[in-house]
Parts: sequence; structure tokens; C-alpha cells
Amino acid sequence: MPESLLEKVAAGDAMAVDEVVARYGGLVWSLCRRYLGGAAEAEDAAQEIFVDLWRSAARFDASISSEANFVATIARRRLVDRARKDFRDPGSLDLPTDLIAAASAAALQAEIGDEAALAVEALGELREEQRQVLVLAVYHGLTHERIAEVTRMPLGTVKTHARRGLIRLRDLLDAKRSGVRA
Amino acid sequence: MSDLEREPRRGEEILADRATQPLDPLAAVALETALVVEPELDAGALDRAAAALHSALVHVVREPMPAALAARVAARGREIVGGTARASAPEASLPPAPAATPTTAPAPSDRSDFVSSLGWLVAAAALVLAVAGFWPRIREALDPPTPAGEMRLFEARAVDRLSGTFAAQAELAGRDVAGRCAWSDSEQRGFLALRGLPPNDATQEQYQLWILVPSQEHPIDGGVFDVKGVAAADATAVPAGGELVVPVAAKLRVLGPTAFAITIEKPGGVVVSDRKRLVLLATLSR
Repeated sequence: MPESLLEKVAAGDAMAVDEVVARYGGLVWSLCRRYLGGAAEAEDAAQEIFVDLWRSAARFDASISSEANFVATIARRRLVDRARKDFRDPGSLDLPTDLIAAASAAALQAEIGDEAALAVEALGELREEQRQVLVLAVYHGLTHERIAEVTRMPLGTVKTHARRGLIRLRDLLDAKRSGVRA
Repeated sequence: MSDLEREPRRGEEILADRATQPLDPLAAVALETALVVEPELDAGALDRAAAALHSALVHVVREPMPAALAARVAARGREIVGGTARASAPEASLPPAPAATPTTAPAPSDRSDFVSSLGWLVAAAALVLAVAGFWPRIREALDPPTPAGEMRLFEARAVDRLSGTFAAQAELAGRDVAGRCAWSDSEQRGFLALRGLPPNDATQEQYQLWILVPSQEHPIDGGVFDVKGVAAADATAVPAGGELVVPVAAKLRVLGPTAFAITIEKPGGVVVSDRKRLVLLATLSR
């Protein structure tokens, strides 16, 4: 018997679709609006994200992350993909799209509130430059090149802060989740 | 903090890039290789970490999905999910299970209860504490999501913001009208803040914003709006003596605008304005 909404969707329960939209519509919409800015583009992206979600629901694994984090992960993948289409040269469109989806299998863990709170805590434990670069990259959706322009940091330094900051954030989240569970 | 000094593996670096950036083709190939060479890498962990952070940061400025969009999304979802069920899972035609709360964790939609709300308040407070002093725009994010609050947040946040001051044109000669505007190419978002604009009868005419971009033959439609109108869906009442804040609703991608113009047009606006009733004009600069 499916327990989560996404498990119900994966099982073909069309009635669960409305609950998923009611529960996660605001999250997806806000991610799109903050990342893409324009309302029309955000609407297109939100519709694409939910189509991805319906088709990916069977990959949801509650032992890896929460439903909300699974939804947000799918949303971000689509948003980053759209950024590539919008800002890169046409040749980059030839990239195999399954590379973007490879990280899938995503899924569960604590509930959205816990996970978001842990992320905020973890953000506070990063070095200032790492926080700044990560917020610009994750929240504002700026490219490394644009972040370098904005912060006047060398591009290589931006890349280093973004990579190490995110890796550190992941490690801190893992440690905090373990602490919450213990 | 010792982990900060750990040299990331190449695969981790590319996965970190992928979580926040479009990968170029060479990096994509390198990632494929790294995932083969380093099979122990969790390919999704950094994506999930970025998603958790993004969810936390947008939560304080969360907007509900527009009802019409939610209806379209749900209708398409029922088609896909129902279609899948009919095609491959006959048992799914059984009556759906009651909408149960997941047993592993409280449902996010239960956020309205006290404990959950408290959790989010703590999270929001922690967010402020975590970044206070270096990222004041996050503090701004705690403003209620009114257009005015949105504009304040935008002005604090948009790193490539262009702004301008409106000057009244012939249509408004002699009226005490003032206003400002702001736009960000990277966010594809902008706002107008206007004072003294005469109320319009939305059944007869509407204000329409135009965005002038040198590379475009015609100004880009920035959306229609009303002053104290009640007929238009996006009408925004002006507080007594207050400022009307209007989000820009650009119909095309806008890059490098040089000016914003406001005209009066027929209800719903026009595709190309004859500019006979130009009311306000502002040039944009950094």
C-alpha cells in the first residue's frame, strides 16, 4: 500500500495528483520565480517540472530524502537545464540530457522543515566567501562567470568556493541528519 | 572546518558544478568518466544539498502557485498518471487510498500547525542569524510578499539592477506625478513604484508599460496595470497617499533595456503602441 503522495502517483493514483500540486505547487513556483525571474518563463518551467515529477515519481525513495527535497531536486535540475538553453551557445544543446537526470534516484529523509532548517544551519557554518558564492549560485542562479563579475573574485576562486562550499554543505547536512536521527 | 581543506575529488567537483551550473560538453564527458572511475560517488547528494538550501532560501519569500497554473499542472498530471495507470497498472483503478499523512514525517502541508510554524520561524530566524552582517538582502526576504516588499527585496538583491526615475509626459502635464523603476537582466524581473497616477476605468482603458531595448525594433510589452481599478485581475489598490508598486510582466526576454515608458491603451493593452497617450517615461542606468 503506497504511503507517500509520490508513491501513490507512481502507483497510478490520479487523485494524488491534486494533493501533490496543493502541497508542492508553492515550492516549485517559488523556486522557478526566484531562479528565472520572468513569470512567463517560470510558468513554462513549472509545467515542465511537474511533468518530470509525474514521470519520475517511481524513483522516489524515502530512505534518501524527503518528498519535498525530491521535488526540489527535480525542479532545480530542470531550472539549471533551462539556464543552459537560455544562456549557452546552441552547440551545448547537444549534451546528453540523461547526464542531467543521472543524479536522480534521489529521495528522502527528514521532512522539508527539518531539511530546510538543517540547510540554513549548515549555511551558517560555511566560510563567508563560500556562503556568498553559494547563495548567488543556488538562489540567484548566477553562473560562475557572472558571480566573478559581481563579487570581483577571480573565476578560479569562485569555482573553488562554490565547489568546496557545496561539498561542505552536503557533509554538514549528512552529519546533522545523523545527529537528528541518533 | 578541517573538511574545508580536504581536496575534493574531480568527480565531486564536477557534480558540485552540475548542481549549480550548466555543464559544458567537456565537463559532461568528464563527469561520465568520473562516475565510472569513482563508482562510490553519490551522484545525487550535491543536487539534494543544493535543493535543500534553495528550498530554505525561497521559503521566506514563498509565493503560492497561481491558481490557473496549478489547475493546468494538475490536469496534465491526471492525464499522465491516469494514462500510465490505465496502460500498465490495472490495479490502480481500485479506489485510491485515503490521503494519508506519510508515516515517516509530518506532511509539509501541515506547516500551519503551531509546532511546524514554530519550526519554520526558527529556521527563518536561524537564516537571518546565519547570514546577518554579510547578506542584508536575506533580511529583506523576511518582508511579507507584498509588491512593495517584493520590490524592496529585489532592490536589495539584484546585483545588476538598472533603475530610473519617471518624468511626466504631455498627457499628465500639470499633475503631481512621480515614480521610479528598476530592472534586472539576470533575474528578468523588475518593478515600478508610482505616486499620483490618476485612477483609470479598467473597462475603458488601462496603463501599459513598455520596455525599450535598443536591439528590439519595437518596445517590449511590460504588461498592463490599473490604478485603483477593480476590473483587472492584476489591479493593485493604492494606499491613501501611498505608492503603487507594480511588478513588470515582460512578454519577451529583456536584455539591456534603456528606458521604460507608460502609455494609456485600450483594456488588455496593445501589441504595438501608437504612443499617442504617453504618460510617463524613465531612462534606465546603473
